Amino acid sequence: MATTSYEDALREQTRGQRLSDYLREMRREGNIDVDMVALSWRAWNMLHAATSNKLPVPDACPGPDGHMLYTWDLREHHLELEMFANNPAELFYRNRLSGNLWEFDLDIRNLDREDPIPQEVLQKLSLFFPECPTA
Amino acid sequence: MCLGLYRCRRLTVKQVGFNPAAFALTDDDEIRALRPEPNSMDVPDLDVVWDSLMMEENGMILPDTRPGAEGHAGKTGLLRPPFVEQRFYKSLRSQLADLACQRIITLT
Repeated sequence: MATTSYEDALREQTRGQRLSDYLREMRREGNIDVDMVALSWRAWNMLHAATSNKLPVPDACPGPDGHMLYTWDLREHHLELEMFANNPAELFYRNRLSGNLWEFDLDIRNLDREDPIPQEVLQKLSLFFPECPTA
Repeated sequence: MCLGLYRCRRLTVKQVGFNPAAFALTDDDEIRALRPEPNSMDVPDLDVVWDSLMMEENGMILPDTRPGAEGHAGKTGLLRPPFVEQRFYKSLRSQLADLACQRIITLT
């Protein structure tokens, strides 16, 4: 089990590096600007830290207007974080089985110790934590 | 292989992510059948359309008939009108992504 955990951690570290490379590549191709690279990287680091490094690295895709979309998928759970240049980011959750939807506007630029990530957001993020291996 | 799939018009081929050889195949009728969850009558059906590649010749815009100029398939109906809640369109978009993930091929 210890080996599996180590391999999982290594894979996540590699995916994190690939996310960083991908953001820079999207900048080079002109899909997003340097501010969006910084915002996207800040968002990932803040969410990762707020979940005690349990949140997996998201899939990422630029939008047509210079915004960036992160997605997490695990079983029936789907979560999106859409980041915009001049507006708060939008979180969107969809449960594929129940059809339940949830939305939340998150101002990533203003998140800090005094204004942390709200509990209801953390609860949604926790749906994507990898299951702990049994001892 | 891709051109054959393009021509049959029932399958849409879309390149996926970083890998230039990875493509998602989506059935056009399955795309047209998608509806937001919960449904809303304010949201029109999605559609798949074919756009020919165009070229300018002697000042006129004409279909490009050169070899390889097949054009491309595109989806319509994903642009949200301002009076419609965005959750309906985000629901559609995520369903569309689910559909695309069902059949991904890698050309070698």
